[in-house]
Amino acid sequence: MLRTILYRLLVSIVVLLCTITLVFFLLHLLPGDPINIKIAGNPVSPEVVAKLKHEFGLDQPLHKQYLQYLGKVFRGDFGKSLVDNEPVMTKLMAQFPATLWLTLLSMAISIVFGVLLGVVSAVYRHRSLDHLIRLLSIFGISMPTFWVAILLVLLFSVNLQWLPASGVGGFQYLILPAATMGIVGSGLIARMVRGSILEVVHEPFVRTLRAKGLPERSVMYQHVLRNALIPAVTMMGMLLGELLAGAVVIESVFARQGVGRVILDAILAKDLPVVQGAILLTASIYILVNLLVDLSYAIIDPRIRQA
Amino acid sequence: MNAKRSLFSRAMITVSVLMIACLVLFALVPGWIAPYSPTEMNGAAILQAPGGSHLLGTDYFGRDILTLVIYGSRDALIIGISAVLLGGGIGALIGAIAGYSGGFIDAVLMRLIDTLMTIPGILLALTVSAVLGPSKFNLIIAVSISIIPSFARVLRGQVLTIKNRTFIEAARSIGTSHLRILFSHIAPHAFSSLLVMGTIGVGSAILMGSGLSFLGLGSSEEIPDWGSLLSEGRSYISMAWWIATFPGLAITLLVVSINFLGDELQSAIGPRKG
Amino acid sequence: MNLSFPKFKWAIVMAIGFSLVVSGCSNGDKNAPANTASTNEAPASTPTEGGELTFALAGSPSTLDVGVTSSDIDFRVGRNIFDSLVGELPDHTIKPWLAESWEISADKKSYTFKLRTDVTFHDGTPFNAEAVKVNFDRSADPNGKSVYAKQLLGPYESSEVIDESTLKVNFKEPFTPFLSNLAKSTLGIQSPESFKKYGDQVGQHPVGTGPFKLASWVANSEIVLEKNSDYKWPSPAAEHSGPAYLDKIVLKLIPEESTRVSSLQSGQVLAAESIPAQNIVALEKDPNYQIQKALLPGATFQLTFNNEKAPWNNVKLRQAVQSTVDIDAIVKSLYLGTFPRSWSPLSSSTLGYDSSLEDSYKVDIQHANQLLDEEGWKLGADGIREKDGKPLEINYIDITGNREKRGDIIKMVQQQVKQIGVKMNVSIMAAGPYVDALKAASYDLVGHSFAGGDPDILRTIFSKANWSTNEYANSNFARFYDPQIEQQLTDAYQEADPEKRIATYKELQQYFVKNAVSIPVYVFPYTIAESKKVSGITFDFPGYPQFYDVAVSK
Repeated sequence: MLRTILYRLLVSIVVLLCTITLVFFLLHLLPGDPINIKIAGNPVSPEVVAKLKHEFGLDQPLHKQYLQYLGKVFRGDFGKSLVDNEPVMTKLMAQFPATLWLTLLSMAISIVFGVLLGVVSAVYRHRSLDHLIRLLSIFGISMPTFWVAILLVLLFSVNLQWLPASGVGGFQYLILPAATMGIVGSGLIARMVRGSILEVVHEPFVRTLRAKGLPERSVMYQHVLRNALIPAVTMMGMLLGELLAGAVVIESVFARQGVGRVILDAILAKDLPVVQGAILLTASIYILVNLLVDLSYAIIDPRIRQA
Repeated sequence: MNAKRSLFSRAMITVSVLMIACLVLFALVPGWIAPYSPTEMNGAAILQAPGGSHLLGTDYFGRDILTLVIYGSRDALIIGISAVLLGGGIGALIGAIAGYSGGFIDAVLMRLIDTLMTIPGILLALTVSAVLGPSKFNLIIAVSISIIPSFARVLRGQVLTIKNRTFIEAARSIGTSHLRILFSHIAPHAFSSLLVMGTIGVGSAILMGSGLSFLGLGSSEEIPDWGSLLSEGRSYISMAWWIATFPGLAITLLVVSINFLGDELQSAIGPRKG
Repeated sequence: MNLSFPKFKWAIVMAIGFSLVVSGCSNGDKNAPANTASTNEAPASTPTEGGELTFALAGSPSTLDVGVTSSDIDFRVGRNIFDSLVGELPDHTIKPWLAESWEISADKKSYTFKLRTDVTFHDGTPFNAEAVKVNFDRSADPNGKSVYAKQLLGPYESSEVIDESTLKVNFKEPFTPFLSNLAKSTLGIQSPESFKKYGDQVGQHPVGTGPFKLASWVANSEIVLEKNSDYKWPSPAAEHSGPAYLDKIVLKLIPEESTRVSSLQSGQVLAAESIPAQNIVALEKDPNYQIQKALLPGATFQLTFNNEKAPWNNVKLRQAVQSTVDIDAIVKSLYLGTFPRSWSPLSSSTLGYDSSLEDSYKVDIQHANQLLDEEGWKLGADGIREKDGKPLEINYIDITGNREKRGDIIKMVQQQVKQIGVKMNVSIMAAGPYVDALKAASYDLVGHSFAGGDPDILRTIFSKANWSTNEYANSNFARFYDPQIEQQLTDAYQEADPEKRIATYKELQQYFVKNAVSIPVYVFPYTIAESKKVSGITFDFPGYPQFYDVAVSK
């Protein structure tokens, strides 16, 4: 058990290191000199440019910049923003709660509606209700989120004036963005749960239970569901990644603060330290959650423990 | 019960196939179907509501929305299909090599794939398209890269399950080359799942492509794609809802059809999930 | 399928629940912080004191260090935190503000200011000659990070503190735009103490003498300003004296225009800036809102040719395009009549604007074709003109984002120039490659505007000093140079006689239009849409909103 944990931990660290490397080199291929953008169109003497470059370490050869960056990251220093000189860590931590709340709420919506719809769909499989739910969940995963967002704003903010169209504040500001992302998430989960249940239904142990004369209801809710929902847990890690990424678009449409918005702005402004820091943050969360999911899965299912 | 299910499925398959056929036709010969020229800007007919001589209305340039939706199908399909061929092809190859070789090569390749997976698809695509600059070709590259990991993972799994079957071992024992085994023995077995993944992949590639376009990282050609048309219409939503609504609907219907067919393919291959 | 009753009932319950939640919240928003009860009984003519203004800002300021930044939005917010030595009225007269009076030396190179002695910064430190000197020296430092302030200080040489309240500012040569530049928030005075205390983070902790001070700032979300209760030195344009009426201003940072408008419509904010044309039209009809506009001075949005690069270095070719582009159609389609058409490279609210240019040329396709024929560009098989085997193309570059629908303008121009056989290639690029392309001068046409105040902005966009000498000083995108025009540009900014100065600027505008150096498109109206409950938003001369006189009625 301990070996499994250590091994997974080691792999996670290697992957994180690879991510740092990949992101660093990918971003330094971005065309255009960041300093140049910073002072675009304004007369600034070459000395000032040189000074700015030195200040941000951009005058060093790439491999040196990389090693320096790596060293700093391990000390928990992500550098400072090219745009406003604010330390990247401070900037991200200020934005992170907004994204976290959005992600958690949309995850909750996804799980509640997704599992509910998935179970109902499986229980009433091949009947009208199942067809309807299947159709709805396919629509859920097929609609562009930004389109859904626009339609929801048009309906609930502009026409009905029930909910705020934008910004961050109390709970009511979270509803529309979270609902938008929840629609996609519910679709994903519902499909997964339905598939998973139908797979378990065909397993030999279910046939045995039925043969033993257990009522269908008890077979379904006590045995099938429990087994079918285990794989759904692994889905959570993936869903979290999807939702965090979805935040980039959603935060932009709803003018919310958040890490996604920071990433988008930073990419457009070529604010390298911020993009790096934000992607690393997202990646770390993703890796951490998947590690936890892997481990909990290993605890739940003894067959994996031995592997 | 079964008959009812297949009735629903059959109906949906028909609708989906028709929908896709229709959009493919639009993409192939838009000029035959579209009522206007996609670049025609009629200053006398800006922001017309749907109906009359403009069935789906006009945008603020006075361009016909129906015409633009018809022409936009071309970009959507090109982006979806080429991204899957490119990204899916590379991913499948990586997965197959990793699964087949095992050991060190497998470990290295899969850590690479894990790395790509830690960065959510749209974020990766966003970064890549910012690196490359906004154009249709770069958009395809960006979307392709983001779908490599899932193909690699699935194909590796497929290869692992069939690698040790007796017929492969037999081939190996008579001295067949690795490449030949990979292509003539393993590839056909993996084909069905590739087909399913590919189909669903086209749908998600179209979604991602339109998302990037919406964020302003698409192409800036004379004929807008659906994503950029939607982003144009967004600020007019309370005044001219039709500009943003119809391209979004077109994306949704296309992707729904593709996903539905993907589902049906899936259940045809692994009937248990049906 | 019919909706069963319980579900229907549930839907109603949900709906009621929702509306309760929402109305509960919006009441909360409107509740003004505790204020003097007597104002409720005040007569209608006196503005309500206290309360807060929620205002949707069209972006996120990156810094409020006005002495360093170059971004408009930073100056707009800064206007309410920092005061200037002088103020400029819409008729271009300069009035005292933090400076009580000033004298200009005989050689026009020195300005001696007598400063107010009763002014303090938000941090309690006194405003004096030394403080102004520190600000100017900091902004003018050739090795400093200042961008726009440095430009506004022009040939700045030094500041001398004569006594606590007397400051002498010296220039290397006469610099007439100085007083007008001084009126801008860019040269607003920051607390020298704050430079010491916050270092390069001072942009996040602005300390000025203005009617409002920074209370809190959550990046990408909101900036909260609160009343400076000690304030008694309002700008010359102000309509009352003493502290501001409002207790608090909440600036919501909403870059997306449609979201900004829906926030206004849903009552989340009381006012919003930079309203897109289509919404101006709708809001103007709505009895609950009013629209305020300020035509921004400076260089208007213009399509500027690369005057150095063949074939567009040929004036005939440029004139052909000038006679083809239908600016009226563009302004009508894209801005629905809310943005005025521009006829000169200078905006109509700028000193010296030449109104005789209005209607001085019109769309004439025949004339355009004739010009191109004369220059030897013949129509090819594909409808594109050619000469010596080369097609007649315009390579246009722009930055991503379609700001103010500039990307849409070019889409229309692209179709219009097809009529005369010109092919237009449009490259929309990210910021990095865009700046690189500007530096490399690899374009034929580029669209740009420069907000400014003084007509000296013409030097920014057409002087040789701004393109060839310094690769980072690219603001003359026209890559224009003519020795005689260069001389006139120099004379005009040194000229102290306003009449002569204006005459020179008129001549210059005539020249730029006749030679189609650039094609002016629109004058940008800075717009604010506000609930009728809001009164007293005024604009300073460059067109930035001032909240000092604002009152919010119940």
